Amino acid sequence: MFVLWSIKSLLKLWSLATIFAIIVIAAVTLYSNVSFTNTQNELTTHVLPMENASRQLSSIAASFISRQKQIIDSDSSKNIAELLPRSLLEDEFEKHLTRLSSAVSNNKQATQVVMSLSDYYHRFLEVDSQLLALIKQQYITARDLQQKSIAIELLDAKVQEHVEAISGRINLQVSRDKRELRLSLKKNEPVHTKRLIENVIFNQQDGIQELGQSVRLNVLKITSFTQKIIQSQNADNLLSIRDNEIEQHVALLNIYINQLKKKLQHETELFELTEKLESNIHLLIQNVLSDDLSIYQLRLQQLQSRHLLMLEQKKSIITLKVMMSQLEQLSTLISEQSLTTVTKSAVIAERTRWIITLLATIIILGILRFIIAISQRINRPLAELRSAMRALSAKNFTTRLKVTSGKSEFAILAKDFNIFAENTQNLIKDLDEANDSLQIRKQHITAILNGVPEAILTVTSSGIIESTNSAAAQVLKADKNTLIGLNILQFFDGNQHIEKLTDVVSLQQNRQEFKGLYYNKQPFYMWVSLSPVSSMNNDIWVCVISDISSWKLAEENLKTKSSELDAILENAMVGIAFLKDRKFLRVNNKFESLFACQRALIEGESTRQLYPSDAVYEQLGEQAYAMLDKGQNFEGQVEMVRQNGERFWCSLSGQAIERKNPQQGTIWLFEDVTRQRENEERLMNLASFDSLTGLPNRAVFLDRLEHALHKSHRESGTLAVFFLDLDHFKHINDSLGHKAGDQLLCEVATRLQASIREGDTVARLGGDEFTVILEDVRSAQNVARIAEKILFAISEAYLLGTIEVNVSASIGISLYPADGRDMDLLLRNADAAMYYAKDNDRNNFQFYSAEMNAKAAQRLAMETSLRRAVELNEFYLNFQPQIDLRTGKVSGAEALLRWNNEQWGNISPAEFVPILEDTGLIVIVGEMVLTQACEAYMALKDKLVPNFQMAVNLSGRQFKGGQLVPYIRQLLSEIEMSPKNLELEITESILMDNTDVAITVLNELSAMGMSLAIDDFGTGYSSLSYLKQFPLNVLKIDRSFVQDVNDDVNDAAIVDAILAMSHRLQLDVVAEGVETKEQLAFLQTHDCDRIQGYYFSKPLDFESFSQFIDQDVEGL
Amino acid sequence: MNRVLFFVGVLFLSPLVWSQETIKIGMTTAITGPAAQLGLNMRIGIEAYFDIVNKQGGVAGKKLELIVLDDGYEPERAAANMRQLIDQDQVLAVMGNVGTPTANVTAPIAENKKTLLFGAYSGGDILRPTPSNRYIINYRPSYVEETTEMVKELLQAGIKPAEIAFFTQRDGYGDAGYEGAIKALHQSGFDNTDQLVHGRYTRNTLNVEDAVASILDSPITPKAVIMAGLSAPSAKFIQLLQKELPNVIFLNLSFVGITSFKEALGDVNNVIVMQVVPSLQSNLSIVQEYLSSLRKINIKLEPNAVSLEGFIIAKIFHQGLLNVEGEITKESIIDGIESLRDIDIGLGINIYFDKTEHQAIHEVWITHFENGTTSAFSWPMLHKYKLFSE
Repeated sequence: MFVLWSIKSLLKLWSLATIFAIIVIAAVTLYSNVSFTNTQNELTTHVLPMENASRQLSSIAASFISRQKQIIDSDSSKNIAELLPRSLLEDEFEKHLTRLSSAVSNNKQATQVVMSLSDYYHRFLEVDSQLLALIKQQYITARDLQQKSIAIELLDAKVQEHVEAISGRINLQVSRDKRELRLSLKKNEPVHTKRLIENVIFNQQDGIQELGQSVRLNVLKITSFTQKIIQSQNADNLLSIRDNEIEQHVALLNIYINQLKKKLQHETELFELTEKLESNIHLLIQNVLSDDLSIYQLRLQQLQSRHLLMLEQKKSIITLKVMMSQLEQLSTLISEQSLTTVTKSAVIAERTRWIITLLATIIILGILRFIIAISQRINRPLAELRSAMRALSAKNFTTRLKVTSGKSEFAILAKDFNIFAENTQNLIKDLDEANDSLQIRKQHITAILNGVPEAILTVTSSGIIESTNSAAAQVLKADKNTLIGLNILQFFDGNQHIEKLTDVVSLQQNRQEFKGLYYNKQPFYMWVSLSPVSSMNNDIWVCVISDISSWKLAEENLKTKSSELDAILENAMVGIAFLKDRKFLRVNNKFESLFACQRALIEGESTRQLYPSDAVYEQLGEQAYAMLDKGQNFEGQVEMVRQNGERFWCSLSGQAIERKNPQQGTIWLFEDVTRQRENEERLMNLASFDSLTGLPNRAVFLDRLEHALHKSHRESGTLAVFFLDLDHFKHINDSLGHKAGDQLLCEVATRLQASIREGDTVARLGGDEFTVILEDVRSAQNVARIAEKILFAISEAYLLGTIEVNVSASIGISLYPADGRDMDLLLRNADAAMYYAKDNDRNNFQFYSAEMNAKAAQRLAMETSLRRAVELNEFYLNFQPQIDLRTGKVSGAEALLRWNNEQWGNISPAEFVPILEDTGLIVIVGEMVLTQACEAYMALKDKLVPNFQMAVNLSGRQFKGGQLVPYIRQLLSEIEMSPKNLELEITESILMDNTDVAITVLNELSAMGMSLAIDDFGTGYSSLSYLKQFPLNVLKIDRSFVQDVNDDVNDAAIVDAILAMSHRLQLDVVAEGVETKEQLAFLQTHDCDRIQGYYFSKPLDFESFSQFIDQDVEGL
Repeated sequence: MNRVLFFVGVLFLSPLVWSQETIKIGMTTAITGPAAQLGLNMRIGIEAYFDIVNKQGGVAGKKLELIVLDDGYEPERAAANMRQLIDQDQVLAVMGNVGTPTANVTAPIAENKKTLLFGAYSGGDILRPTPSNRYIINYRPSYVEETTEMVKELLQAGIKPAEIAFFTQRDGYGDAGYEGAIKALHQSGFDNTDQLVHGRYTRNTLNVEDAVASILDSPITPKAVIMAGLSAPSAKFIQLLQKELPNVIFLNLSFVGITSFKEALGDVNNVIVMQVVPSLQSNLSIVQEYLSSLRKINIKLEPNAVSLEGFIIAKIFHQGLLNVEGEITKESIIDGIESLRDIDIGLGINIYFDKTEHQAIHEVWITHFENGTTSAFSWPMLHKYKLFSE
């Protein structure tokens, strides 16, 4: 079958059959699908609505349950009112119930269940209504209960009030009688008295008070039982409270009330009150017990209805449970129905599967049959083709295939084969002709071989020379005939261990140079190329030899020279690199170690890797090659990078290998100069920076200021110079030590730097003096802000070791160009401003002003005058008397320095004393004051009280230098004055500023017997406990406190406190500046010891003072 | 009472309630309940003065509006009212509240919500903390100041401490009066205060007999009784005791309310009442101003000390508003009032406020009953009393 069919036609037939089979399968599937859709329709139209309705019913039943729960849990009628109305749920339930019953109309069993469900549903509704009504009733009862209990409380209060009124009235009556009794006893009225006594006794024995109390108590108890009633949980308990507790008290109450009424039956007013009381009590008892609406009844109702409620609740739960179980049953029925429908659909699907399997088997069998037919149609013609091809291979080029007619593929193939066989026959003929022309070409080649200068020899595999060209005779120094038959190996020097041709071949893979021997055994260098003629056949070898002796000699000379240079290069102490196009050609050992690199890895690479950045690389390239292009050397220092990433400073110089042509290559020398640079830098730093704080020092500051001034001048800009000095730094240094002081300075430096902009300069001029240069300042306000910032930063606490220290600073500011155009002026003015700031309570900043300069000038002038005054002895003393408040006598005087000058007039000590202190003149003047004061005392001694105190002020400067104690000792002994009569006044600040020195000097003075007074007390630290450290005897209260002692409560309190404390510390107190009688009175009442002030006397000159002593003191 | 209700009705209809932009001031007070007379009268006084201001065009073109809520003298309602006034009605200050128990809750709210509580009708200490609270400013002196003055003057007049007795209501108000006087006695150097007779009565009753009895039982017959009670029980106490001891002097705290006290007392002598406002008979300009403005509103309105106090605090408040610099805010009102230094508002004495002084006056006016009429009293007049002629 199908023998004459082509394979193509067969395939077409097979496709048709397959399509037919697929159509059959599709038909079967369609049928199955239709039956499935039917099943689905069945489910959606009947089963699902049923299931849906039943699910809805379940959920509504759940809503019923939760609603009921809300009803039961609700705690007020308001909550109930807020509940979902039941009618909504009912409507829903009935709607779904109707739907369900219509859905199950064809299912008898289900219809029965639905009917029963409806039945229970109605039962449930009834129970639910009952439940709601009961709960509402409960709330009403509870509200009534509450109202009742309020009513009872009110009645209780009324009863209490009545009882209080009755007992109060009786008490009042008794008290009246008692009082009358007392009065009549005084007046001796016996008859009246007797009646009164009876009255009192009657009333007191009557026990009305006790009855009243009992009534109150019992009422209280009944009231408290109402609470118990409200809280009781069962009827039995309730009954027991009523019978055992309340009834008892009610009975008692009735008895007491009757007794009370009886006792008071003659007292109309009280009897009426008692009746009111009784009616209130009865009302109360009614409210508690007897009434239908009494608390007791209400609670009883409440408990009963609660019992009912619980029953109803149980009923409702049971009904709901039944309903739920019916719904469950219903859902079981529904699932059974849906199962039947689904099973039907499954049977059809099974049948469909069998039909499809059968059809598939038939198709597979058909396919197999076709495959067998096709393979038979191919195999036979192939066998014929194979035998024809074999004949062709055996050079039988006449072989041909039999050609059949027909369209089969093999008929075409046979025709093609015959054409191929004919072509091959023609080709063989052409080949024979080509062979002849090859012979001619061979002769040409021989001619060429004889023409070249190298020896070309053919040798056998054992090395025997078979033929040579004509040059061979010259190269090997033997004629051609001699050479033929010799072994080629004898021309190789025996030291090279060459025993066969393959040795040469293996050697020439490394080098083609060999040591050779001429035929006359003279050695020479030769270049050899030995190889077999064809790779297939090792019988014939071709050997080419050329004499390279003269070339070799030249090369060896060169090599010797080159290695000398290498040695120099490699052992050089500097890094050397040969570069071309900025790439490494070669580097030496030193370069490798310098850059921590390996030459093998960098040769051929770019030099970029030596530089830290592209920019440096580019920049150096531009600079260096610009010079190299001009034929000059380049030298420079640049920061470079080692392979390990470390940076270092490198001095490098480069030059072109050929000066005229740097592109041909350059040579570079590298040297590490980091250490050298560091040394230079450190030397530079040492000269310009403050070693403690790291800030610029004075020299750098001046240099920077000069630059900044130039810049500001050029750009018409402004700048500010700050002079900053720490306040009382010395105190810190003295008390905490230099180490702490240094630590503080470092911290101040850090804070200063943090307070200014980056471009501005902070410098330390030395000690605790700092300066700041602010450039490009916009306004004075701006500068002021920075000054404030600095003051604030400095005033924050410092932690030195474990001690917290506070420091402030004073800042003087001068501005360029306003306060000066040159450096000197700016600095001077900033300095002046700084001193002004110091005078101004410190911890502030001051802008320079011309006024300051005027002040400074005035000060300078005064300084000159003062120097002259010391020489001319223009100073004199005044004495202000001090009065002892206990004796009323002049018990001392304060010596006060005065200066009268032509130029300045009578100038206040407050003005000139600070200058004396600053200039140090105070030491001389101070000694003068001591001398004059002591002499004045000696002159008046006879008129004075024995313990008179001549008080002299000491300045802080006098404590330094150690001159004070010896001076006083000598002075006193010279004029024979007792130290007991000399009092030395010092200020608090002297103690605080010079603690150590002060203690030593004061101890010495005290030991000598002098009295020591603390002056202006209250204006400084005013720490009495601190003062205990010093050997003080007297304390002078500052005039500022005394002034307001009568007006200012605070000042009065302070003076009072100072006096009290001082006496406890056994210090005498002198009040300064007493001016009025009131002040004196205050001080007198507060036990002040001594007084000084205008009230008694102003400071007097010596004569007046002398007269003053003679008078009696007035005003005490 | 009907007259007052009528007046309240008139006020509700008055046009200032709906004028466009107003300065809202809140008030929570007793409009109903036992203390209603005090609340209603405070309100009449304040609104009488606000009426004068509003007729003259208000303050800075804005009329003054008083929003009144009733707290029935109950602290819980007072607290809710206070929150509503400040949070919802956005009032700039609350003034004229009545009573100490309500002040106990309103004062912390005022402080918490940073709103001024001004001129409350209470001498309680809660309104007078030390140091003073920025948000509480008072007009009237404290109970302590009233009793201190009583004790001081009694001793000055020669009465011995042992001859002083007490009659107080059994609650916080009574305690405050008693403790104030005891403190003053301690300060004068008398320590045996436990021995002094102290009669008490239950609030909301007239059971004063026990108190009278305890004074009669006392071994030393008192010459003066310091009283911290309400008008009805106090009057009954005085009547009962005067039957036995006709010469005792009765000194009453201002809270007693002189008008109702007078009605209850009838024809008595030797009764002294402390007042924080001048006598209605006085010629002081503020009293005249008050009387004429009251007449203008309703001729039938009876003048009394409570509405006069309302009138006075409204006037002080207005002066404070006039002193405000810039916008009128909760804070600037306080600053305005604090800047009233030594101002004469017609009281005869100057009022004075500053940052720490938050009470306008420390003086009290004293009235006494003579044969059923009231008249101004000064301490030297004590010597005319029979007690001293004995």
